[in-house]
Amino acid sequence: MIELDAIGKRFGTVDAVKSVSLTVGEGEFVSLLGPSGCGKTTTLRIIAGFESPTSGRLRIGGREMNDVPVERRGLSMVFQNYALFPHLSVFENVAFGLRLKRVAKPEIEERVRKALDQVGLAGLGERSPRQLSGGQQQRVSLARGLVVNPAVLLMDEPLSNLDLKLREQLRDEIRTLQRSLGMTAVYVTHDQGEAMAMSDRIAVMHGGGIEQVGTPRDIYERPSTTFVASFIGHCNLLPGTLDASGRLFRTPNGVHLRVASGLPPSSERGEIRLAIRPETVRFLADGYERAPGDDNLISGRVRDIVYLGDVAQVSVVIMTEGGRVAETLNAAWRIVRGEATPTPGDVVRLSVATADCIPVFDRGA
Amino acid sequence: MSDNASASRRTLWLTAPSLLVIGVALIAPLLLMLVFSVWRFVPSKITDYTLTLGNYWRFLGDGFYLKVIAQTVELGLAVTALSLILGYPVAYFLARTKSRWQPVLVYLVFVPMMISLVVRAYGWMVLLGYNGVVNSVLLWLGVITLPLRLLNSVHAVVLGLVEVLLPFMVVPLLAALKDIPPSVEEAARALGATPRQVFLKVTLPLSIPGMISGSLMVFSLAITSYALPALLGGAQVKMISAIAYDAMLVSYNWPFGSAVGIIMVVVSTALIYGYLRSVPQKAQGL
Amino acid sequence: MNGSHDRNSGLVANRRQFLAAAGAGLALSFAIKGARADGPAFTIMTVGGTWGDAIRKIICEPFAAKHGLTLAFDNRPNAQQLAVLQASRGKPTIDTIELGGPRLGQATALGLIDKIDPALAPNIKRVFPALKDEFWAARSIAPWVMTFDKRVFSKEEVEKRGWSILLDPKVKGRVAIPNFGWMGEMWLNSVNQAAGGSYDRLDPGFELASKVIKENGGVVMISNDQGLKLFTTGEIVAAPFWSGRTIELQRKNLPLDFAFVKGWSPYGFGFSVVSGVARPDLSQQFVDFSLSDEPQLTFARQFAYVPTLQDLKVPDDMPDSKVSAAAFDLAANLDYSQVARFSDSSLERWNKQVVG
Repeated sequence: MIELDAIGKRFGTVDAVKSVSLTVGEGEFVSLLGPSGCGKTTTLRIIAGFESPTSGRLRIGGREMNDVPVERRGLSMVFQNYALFPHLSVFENVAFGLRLKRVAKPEIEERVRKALDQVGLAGLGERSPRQLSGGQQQRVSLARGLVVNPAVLLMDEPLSNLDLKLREQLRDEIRTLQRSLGMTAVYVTHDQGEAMAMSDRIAVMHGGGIEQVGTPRDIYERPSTTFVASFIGHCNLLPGTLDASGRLFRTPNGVHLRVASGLPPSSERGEIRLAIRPETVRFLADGYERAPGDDNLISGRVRDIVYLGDVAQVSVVIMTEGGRVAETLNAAWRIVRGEATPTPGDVVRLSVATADCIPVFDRGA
Repeated sequence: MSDNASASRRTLWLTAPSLLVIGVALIAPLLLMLVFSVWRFVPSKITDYTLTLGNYWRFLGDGFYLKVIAQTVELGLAVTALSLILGYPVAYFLARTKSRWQPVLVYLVFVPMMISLVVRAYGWMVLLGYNGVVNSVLLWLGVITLPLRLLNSVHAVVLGLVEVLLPFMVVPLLAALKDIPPSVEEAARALGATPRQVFLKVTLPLSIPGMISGSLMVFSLAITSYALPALLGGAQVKMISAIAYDAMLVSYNWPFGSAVGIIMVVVSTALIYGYLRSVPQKAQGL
Repeated sequence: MNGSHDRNSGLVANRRQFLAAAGAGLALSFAIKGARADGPAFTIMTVGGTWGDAIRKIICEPFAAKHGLTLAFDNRPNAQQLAVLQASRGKPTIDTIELGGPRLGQATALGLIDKIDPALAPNIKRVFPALKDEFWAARSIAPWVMTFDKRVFSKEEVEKRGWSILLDPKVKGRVAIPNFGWMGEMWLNSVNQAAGGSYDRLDPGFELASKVIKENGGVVMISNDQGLKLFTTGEIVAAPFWSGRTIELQRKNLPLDFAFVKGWSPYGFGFSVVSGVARPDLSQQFVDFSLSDEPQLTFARQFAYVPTLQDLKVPDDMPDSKVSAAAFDLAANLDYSQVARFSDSSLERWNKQVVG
């Protein structure tokens, strides 16, 4: 449905977007996720047509879009600040796009009413936008965008001005509406939870380029870059090198870990780190001398423990076989009521599956 | 609640000095004028303090003065309309330009205000004079054979006032246009509006508050102007302020001059009130 | 360069400027007070510019040196001067003011000035009787005459036909008269007197003024500056104007001349004693000094104006400062307190019939 082919955007001497390629399928919900300044909003605005790319091609529905003005791209956009027309009533805000298309009056009435119903604002058509709460205003904005049956719905951080509860409620509603209408959607956010909950696929952006594209699960479980691993969720990132086989990771302090395959050893990819999610680290009961199966076995001393409710974050200083003190590894201890947690100074044995030891690299920016 | 009350008391104390100054500087002269306007004029001593409404009747019962008021209002409307037509594109450009010179350009709008009004009037006289630039060019082009009398006309006064008052139109318009979030215009674009439609259906209606305050300022400054009409219009373009001036400082008929002043205040207040009433409440409060 | 010419230079354009003017006035009054701190300053009110500077040098400074005085000046356009006096009535901040024309009549009628005491100001006795009254004496006169283009009229023709050449169809659209608030009130009364009217019956004067404008396409001049410009550009070829200014224009090689026509005005200006001042004797002495030989001659030489002392011998190298007895016979002789009595009604009539 939407194809970005090596899209670049340069403002003066700054490359805001660097050779971004991305395909969004029909009816798919794709999020552009990243910290502020990563180029996600600029990418969205290029899709919308508010910015023209300095390089690359953009196609929507198979049509070349580089020279098509905004109003002829057949899309709708929802903004962070709602961008309602303050001089028009809620009804007229929603009817705006239909009136431009010279839709017949009775049909406008009908479609606006339906759109307001869909977003749960039935009966508020005569209000002025200023009389509505932030959440209601964003619903109006959504109805205004949906009522014209756009080929693509673009959303630029639509929920970030709202409080947490409302944010969660609205994100579910937006997701449900988008699915039921079968609309293609591109969603810009800096909130990984939002992206995870809503998206079919996520494109993680950093420094103007895309780091990784994948399903929320892919992104979380198989991060391919240091940035993705650290930006999404908590992650241990151990320094070190891969051996020639690409199966064994060595830290500077002599910890050896077997790792998942798939990443060819290549020096041009920049520095390599080993990503281990805390929740994949298991605590072994006393008496285990070996890890089950092919898992890595790690011994260490508890340095610190932080209680987080459902889990406790345990910082463990790894000890090598020779008894040397090495890197620190964070592990999640699942809290069970009535059971004691490790305390600082305890010696513990940990295991991590080979498949959960993921080598990642710094994408040379 | 008590916090609120003490805060508003504090606000009152903080604003009291300026309110007092404004009150004394603006209200007191007006009251004094009101008092003078109902005293009888006596040539040798200005007034004998006899109460009378004669000063008002002299004005309101005389077609000549009513005609002067009408001409003044007409001129004020012309100046306002022209300032709006000329000022809007300037304000729009300044509000939308992404040039890094934008602050300098806004400053340039103000620069003429730092030059004495009299100097600027002389500038116009150089342009429009009998041997002025405009006449010289027209003669050289052969469009005319004798110089035109461009000065001492209503047109010269309107032109001069528009030039002088343009910043008072541009500044509130600029503020109103800058207040419109770019996303509002973009939302309209995305919904299928062409740039022209965005301007007509979104930008223009949203800049109405700026248009209102700009035109109110320009109109009231235009109908009360004195020096510029005198310099560019000569004696033959009579504005109401000239009538008041002559009464106050030439014939020393302070009671009549005061009555003219009060009538000016009433007429402009009525016009402004009518104007505001004719604009939808919703548009004003934006 | 009499001050009435500058009527428009300091005018109030709108509220903003009005406030600025009020502020400036306030600042000025502080400045005057400040000067008084070192001893009571002697305060003189005239218009500013080159005129005010000449008065300061020729009259005020020598007088101050003689009496060991500190000086202060209140220079402002004529139009505002009486308003200031009226506002500070009873406790004036001004010791002496220069007046002339209808404004003198107003000041006298409003009781803003005191009589001149011949014992303290003996020079007043030497002034031509027509150029003085009990409150004032002209220290110099500026003839207000008929100025014309030599290529259009001959001097003899102008002297014979007088003000009526302003109605000549061959100069249609190329004539001017002064506005009422500038020199117009004086000119109107002079014309009127010459045509047989009186202070309360101005029809002859109005008839001429109105015809010049309505039938002969005349321009109404509102200031000295405008008059100079109109003559310089050739936009007008005949108008009532100052002889001194005409001479100035002649020196710039403009083909202009002037004539003492019947009803020309010996417009006089001179200092008066402000009523209620703390040191009336000093003000009287100032008036006397301003009328004395040396200042009169110096002034006449600088501005081509005419001294007012009957027994003063004007040197032969100053032909422009002499007016023949025959010419004086044609001059209007106005009592400005009479003129002032009808200012209000004349102004209204002027607005309606002449410029309206």
